[in-house]
Amino acid sequence: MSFSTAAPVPCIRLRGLRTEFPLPGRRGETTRVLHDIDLDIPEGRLTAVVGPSGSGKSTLLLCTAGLEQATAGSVEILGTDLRSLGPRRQAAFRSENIGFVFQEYNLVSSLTVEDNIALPARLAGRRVPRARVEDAMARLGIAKHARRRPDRLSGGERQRVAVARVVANRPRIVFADEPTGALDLKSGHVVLDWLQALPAQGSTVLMVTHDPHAAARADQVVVMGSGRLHAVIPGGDSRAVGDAVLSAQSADEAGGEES
Amino acid sequence: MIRLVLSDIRFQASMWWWTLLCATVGAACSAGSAIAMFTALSAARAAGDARMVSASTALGGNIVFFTVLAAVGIVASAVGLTLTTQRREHALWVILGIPRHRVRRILRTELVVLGTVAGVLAAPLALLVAGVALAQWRGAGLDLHGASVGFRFWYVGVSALFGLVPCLLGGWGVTRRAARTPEMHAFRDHSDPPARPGVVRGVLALCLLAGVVGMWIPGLGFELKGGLAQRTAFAFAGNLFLVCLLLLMGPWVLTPLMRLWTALVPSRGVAWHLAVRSCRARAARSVTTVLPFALSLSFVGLFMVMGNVMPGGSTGLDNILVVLGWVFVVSWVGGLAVIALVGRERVRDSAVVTVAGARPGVVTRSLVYEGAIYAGTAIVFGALFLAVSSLTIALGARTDVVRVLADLPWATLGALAAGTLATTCLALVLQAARVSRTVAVRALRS
Repeated sequence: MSFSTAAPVPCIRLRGLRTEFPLPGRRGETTRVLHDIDLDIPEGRLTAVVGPSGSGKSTLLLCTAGLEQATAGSVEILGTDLRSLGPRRQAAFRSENIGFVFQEYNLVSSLTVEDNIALPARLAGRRVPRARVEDAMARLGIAKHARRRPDRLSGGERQRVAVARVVANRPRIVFADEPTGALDLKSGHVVLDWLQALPAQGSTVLMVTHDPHAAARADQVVVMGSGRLHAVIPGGDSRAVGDAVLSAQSADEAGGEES
Repeated sequence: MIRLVLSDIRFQASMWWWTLLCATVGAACSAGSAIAMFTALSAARAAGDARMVSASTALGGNIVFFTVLAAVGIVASAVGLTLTTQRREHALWVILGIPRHRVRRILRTELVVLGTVAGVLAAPLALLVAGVALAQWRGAGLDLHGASVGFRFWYVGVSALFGLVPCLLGGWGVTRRAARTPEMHAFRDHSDPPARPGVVRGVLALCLLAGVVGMWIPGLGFELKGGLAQRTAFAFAGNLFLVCLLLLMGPWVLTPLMRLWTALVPSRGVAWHLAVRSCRARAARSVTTVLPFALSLSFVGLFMVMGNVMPGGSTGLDNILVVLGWVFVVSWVGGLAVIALVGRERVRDSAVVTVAGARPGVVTRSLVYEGAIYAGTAIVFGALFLAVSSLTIALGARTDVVRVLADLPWATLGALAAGTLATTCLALVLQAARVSRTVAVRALRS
């Protein structure tokens, strides 16, 4: 199934993306997690990926980011075929263009908050101006924790640090995997507000979430089911997102019963 | 409870293996040295050789003292680190409703099981150690009247004791803390506030300080009946107390030392930055890693200075190995075990760094630098202690400190320092190879 979102230039272009994982304990046998996915993600927008558990949302995000190896197909980001790059150039591309916000373990435990925020730039061999790091911390309300290490922060504060890292480094693309999954309502809202504001800074955001309300904040929502694209719908309506996810789940179950 | 103990040990097997190895080697070296001393003593007594009885007591006593001291210190710190690393699981037990006193009992039972198993496994190795030790003593010129090591049942008891005591010493405080720490504090993996010395450590430190002062005053200041030899012996004993004191207060000595010298390195590379931060952030882990190497290097330095100053003394590595050979074995195995023990933490941090865009090689380099920082701290500590012991022993022996320093076997000391550097860096290179094989995302998900 192929989906192209309308309007702006796609900054992420997936063609025939297929991923298979080996089955543990069964030599040579694999299970297909993504089935030949074609998808264009427009630049400067927040796109959410939703779907039932096990539908391949996170795998799609990780393959797109180059963190998980796809079995076949192409991943083009900002005009660069990511799969054709060697590990060194892929790492360089990542540190220069991509930012991440995960559900957990976003931060290097031995680095302070400000060091974590400055890390991607240091890895890319440049320095983020100190004022920009301080500004990002102030905007996210974590300035008072600048010298603390992640283990002294709450889950919400850690997630704000991850968002501050993205705000300070201004990557062109941000991948967020369940960024609010482990947060309380208020912290979740803060993180979502910031992810929603990032496109205004020029970043493209691809966010995987289970939460229809979070997904509804996106400009568009990609709905997945059983490793396939089920639908691409506009954001804004959490009920429509919820219905689309349930529909994908029903389709999965029907497919499962037939097979 | 036994079932929980066994299942916990099985679940944490990869971690316990290293601790068991460390405890087994410690017990084998300690028990082996003690068995060698008793064997030599009984052979000398049977032959009615009073001179050999006193020589065996002096040499054997020294070897047993240093080996047991090193084994207790190193095994205890490795056991403490193992339990501290598992505190999240222990917090989960409390959350699930296991009373705190039972958690403490379970952990102490685990320590007893670990120590006993290590002791029993060490028994045959102890016989081997005793055999090698007796051969070394013969090589050093002692007439042992054909003493040979044969199996006796009490050797197993001695071995079990040397397995058990360091485990309990190292784990006692940690088990008490594990049962006291607020469960959510441990469960969220919050780091402990900066450690304070505690009453037992404080009292022990004061006793050792009294020992330093008590030995240095007559050794450096008084005219003694025994002349220069007695003054030198007092100065030596003062230094011995000093090194024990400094290593007992490791977190407050080694950590600042590490901070100081790493701050002087001008590198701005990201790999170095990550390594320094990692060593500083996990001070307890760093101290436990540095301690075995610092201990062996400072002991060697002390013995070499003493051998240099005493008339007829020797600074040859062969002679040093007779006394400190087993200290080396325990220290090196202990140091490597600690590096392996904390590998899991490194995998996760390395994964985050990789995902953030670290080029291939950055993580490996940062791990190698970490090894260099551990070795560097041990070497700087050893060098400073060598300077202090040279000065004090030269004062005691009324000789020129410059001459003492000039006559030291610097090539041997340099080789030992290089060996320390190579060992820690190599251990971390192996871990880096493991980390590089791990897919970053899977490490973060696991």
